[in-house]
Amino acid sequence: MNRCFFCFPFFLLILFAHAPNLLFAQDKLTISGFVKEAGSGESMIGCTIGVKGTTTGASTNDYGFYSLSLSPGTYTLVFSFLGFVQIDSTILISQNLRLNINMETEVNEIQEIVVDAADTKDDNVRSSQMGKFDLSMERIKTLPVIFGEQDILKTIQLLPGIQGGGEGSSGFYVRGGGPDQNLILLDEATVYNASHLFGFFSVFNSDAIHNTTLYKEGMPAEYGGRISSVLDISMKDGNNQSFHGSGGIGTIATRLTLEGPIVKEKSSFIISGRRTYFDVITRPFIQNSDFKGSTYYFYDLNAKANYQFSDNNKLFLSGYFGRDVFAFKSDDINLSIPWGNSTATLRWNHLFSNKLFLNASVIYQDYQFELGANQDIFEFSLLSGIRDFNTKLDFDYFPNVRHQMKFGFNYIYHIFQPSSVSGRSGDVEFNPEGTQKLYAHEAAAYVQDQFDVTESLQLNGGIRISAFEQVGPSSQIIYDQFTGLPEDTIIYAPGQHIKTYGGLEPRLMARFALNRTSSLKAAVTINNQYIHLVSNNGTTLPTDIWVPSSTLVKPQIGYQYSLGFFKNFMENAIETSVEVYYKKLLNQIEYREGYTPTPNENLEESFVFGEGSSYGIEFFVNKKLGDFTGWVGYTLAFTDRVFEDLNKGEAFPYRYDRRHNVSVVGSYRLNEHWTFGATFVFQTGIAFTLPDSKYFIEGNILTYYSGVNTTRLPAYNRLDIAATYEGRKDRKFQSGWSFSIYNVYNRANPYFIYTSYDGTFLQDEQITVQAKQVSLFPIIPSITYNFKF
Amino acid sequence: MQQGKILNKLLNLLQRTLARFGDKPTFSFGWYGNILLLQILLLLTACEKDITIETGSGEAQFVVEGYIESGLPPYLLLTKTTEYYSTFYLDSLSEIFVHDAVITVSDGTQTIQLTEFNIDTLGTSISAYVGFGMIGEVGKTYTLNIETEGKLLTAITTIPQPLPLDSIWYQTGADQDNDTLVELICRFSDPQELGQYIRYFTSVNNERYLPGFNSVFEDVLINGNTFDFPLDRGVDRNDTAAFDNYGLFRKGDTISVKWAAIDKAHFDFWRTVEFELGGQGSPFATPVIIQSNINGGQGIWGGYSSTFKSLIVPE
Repeated sequence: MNRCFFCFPFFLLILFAHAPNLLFAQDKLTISGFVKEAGSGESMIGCTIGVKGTTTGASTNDYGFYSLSLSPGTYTLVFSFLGFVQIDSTILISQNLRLNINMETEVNEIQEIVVDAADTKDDNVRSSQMGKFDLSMERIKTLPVIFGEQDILKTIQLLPGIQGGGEGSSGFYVRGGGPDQNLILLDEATVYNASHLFGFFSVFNSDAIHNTTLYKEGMPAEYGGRISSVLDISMKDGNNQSFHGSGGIGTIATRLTLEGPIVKEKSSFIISGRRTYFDVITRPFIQNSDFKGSTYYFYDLNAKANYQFSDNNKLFLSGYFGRDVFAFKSDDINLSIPWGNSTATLRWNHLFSNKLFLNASVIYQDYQFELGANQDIFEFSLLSGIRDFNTKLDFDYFPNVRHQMKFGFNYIYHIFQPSSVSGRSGDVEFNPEGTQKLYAHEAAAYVQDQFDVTESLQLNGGIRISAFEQVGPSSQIIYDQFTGLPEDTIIYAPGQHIKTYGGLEPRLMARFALNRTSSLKAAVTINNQYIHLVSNNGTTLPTDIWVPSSTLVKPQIGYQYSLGFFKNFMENAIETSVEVYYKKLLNQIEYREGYTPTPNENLEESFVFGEGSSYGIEFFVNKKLGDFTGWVGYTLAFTDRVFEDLNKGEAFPYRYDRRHNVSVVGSYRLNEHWTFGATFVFQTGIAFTLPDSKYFIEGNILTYYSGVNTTRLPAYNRLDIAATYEGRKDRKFQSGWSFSIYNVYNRANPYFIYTSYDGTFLQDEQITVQAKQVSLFPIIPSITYNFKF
Repeated sequence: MQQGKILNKLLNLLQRTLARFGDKPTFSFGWYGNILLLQILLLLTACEKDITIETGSGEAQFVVEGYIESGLPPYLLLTKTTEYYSTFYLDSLSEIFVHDAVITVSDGTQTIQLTEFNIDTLGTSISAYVGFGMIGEVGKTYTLNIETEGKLLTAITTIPQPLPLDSIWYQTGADQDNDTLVELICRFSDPQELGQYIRYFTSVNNERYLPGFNSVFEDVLINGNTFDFPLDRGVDRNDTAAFDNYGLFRKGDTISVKWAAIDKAHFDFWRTVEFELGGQGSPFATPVIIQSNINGGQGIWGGYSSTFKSLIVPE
């Protein structure tokens, strides 16, 4: 890789270290500090700091740090965050100041919206950021859920422009993009497979989650590597004041979280676990059934600890480990299928000055799918997965009150393990060729700035330079163009260059304030994506395989343009927005027509490449304050794909080309004990490939298809309701109940359609071909007991 | 090299595992874990109902099922596609056959025209085209031309060099609960050259040759090796009893194996056909499009380079 490329971030570093002297006047003084939650010491992310009587202000970063530069004088700083008591602090600024703030939860909790479309009361109109949603776990707890399991990934599917993958699925699709185009981060570690079972549950245990931020457009330059969205999830730090526990017993799973100080106010830990127990419950019932000997469960474990060495140095260590396990055991057969993620993140927060904040991270992540089977002397195993070693340097720089800058550097070493089969029979082993691992370097440097040009115009621009290099060891088979047979093999030594890609990824957002309550925003984003998830499923499954860009597979490129009008009503209690977008996706991958999975195939030979496009309009009304809160979202969307080698080269609708999407979310707080919630969704059915006609070969019925995704499943709609009871809050041990009913009117929503054949020519002299619709979840009530102390 | 044997054994293992869940053998690499889990899940919570779907009123396609086998004359069935979601009655079978087509087969030097014969079978009448003036020869390429109802269909196939099995034998103890069942084991030496494709059939007691449930192989994995592997008994998918004792033979059976080398296009056809028939795809996936080698239509024009082996399993 080009050496200059690695020098770039250091050049930036030098530049910015001196920038204040070069660029900005020196008569300003800086006030900076950390904002924390009183009682627990958790960082407050996105807390706003306003200067009374002006429109200037700042907000805290991902670690609760803020910095403001002001001329000497006396000011009243207003610290505000929804659900917390506002702090007005009048101070005389005659020198650089450090001001740390602890914010108290509002005693008579204002019942507020479960999702803030922006982090502060008028950020919806004021910030130039588009398509950003912040969700706090505390706030989604009143919404109904299936099987009593709170799930952040299902809540975000209720936002306009974001769709679920199917009944009960936690997979999501943003503005016509694919499931691999979402960057899902847990404490900065990429989570490659964010779901359990078939996506019915996400891997994010709500008890361990502190904050969730979703970007569906205008992804800040600090994030890269995906072209559709970013979901940034941070784990709780743990209470550094006193020891606490919380947990719950639900319909299918049980949870327990413990947190507390290691050294009071300086250091804390949190450990949180969750495990399903339907294997335990169902075991007696399946003893005499066909399922005898089969087991399924999943579990999650989150742990985090931090230590504050000084005001300027803080260390965090966090990790996640989760597994799904399916096993089958009989007299002669043993089958075990475990899969899951593990992540570890070590972070160092350092304040160089009251204007320059650094977060340095070292991250490890691993996703593995494994299948092991044995019978007598035969053993068989299948492995697939991806492993990353990742380092990051992220700087937050606050040169003056009109600029907020970020810059940094990121390097990842990827190890891909595409599906590989191995086995043994007694002493004889076999490890077929082609089951090799693949290796790649990915690196990026970025800089971004938020700039208040005038009172009404704010610009947010960034640029990311990224590069990707596939390296050996690898052996690449060259195929004959005509016969498709292997012709030659090129062997690459470890570390040897195979293929490099790179590119510039600019993004620019602008906000033009029309008045105090309304604004226009526009955004342009270009993103590169160097790794790809190949799926033949239309839904994410644990066997899906990640592959790197290579000689044959080119990086995906996403272009997105959007324009929006934002207006708040009733003192920011109601936010509204209308956004239009257009998105172009290059170098999309699908399997070749007629592809059938075989062991140890050369996957790349099974791919074909094409383009996608997507456009639509989104309406959003969000009531944030009052006893009654909630939102209504409506999206009209179009998305399709064009592949030269599929569907005769003609455009075909993407599977998740849902024309209409409506979601209604409401929550009503009756009194301090009872809160009621409801959600309703309506969506056009997903596209699927309809058989055109049938014919006979060797006496068997075969299907002729005239095109891809030619028709649609019936529309999806569903209403869920919930009631939450909270016990008295003035006790040391607090408990409560959550009641949910999923699919209240028991709608048989289509999960998939298949064809059944009844009868045979020989016995019945007739064969009936009938379409059957399979529906998954009927009405499902659930109950969860929660406690905390 | 034991790869073939292990893979085959595993295939059997998984098929038998799945058979416990009351289904036909459904198997595919990559998806089996999901299918297994999905079946459990669906049985626990899912419900299903019949629905009516309007299929496209697309133009009917011509469907060719034609073969030329070493030592035999070319023959062919010519039919049309019919409406998908409907009941198909045996007595209406004759309606899908296309009559009076002008069909020729050329081996490069000689071109013959096929003759149509009407055959009464199963209480209905079907028609077949046979070219008695030609016998399939190893190493030759055969071009098919069909003119009918103003349409032209063409296809090319070859009869590759034969790839006989080295030997076959049987093994007892395949099923612990039934000692009358035996497993057929084959030894095969794959030539060094990559790109060999096989389709096999078995016949029991001189009855009809039936293709295996997974009847085609390619040699990408096992290239150039000699290996032993169990071979599953062929099945008639229309026979509901065909899957009893899946894959195994009985003591007293006279077993014959037809082991035919085929070309890539012919292999791809059966590979995709059997994938569809096996119901192996994920229900969410875009279905596999059957890879036909017929220009202008559907189906197959396939050459077989057949070799045979037989054995008698004593009582």
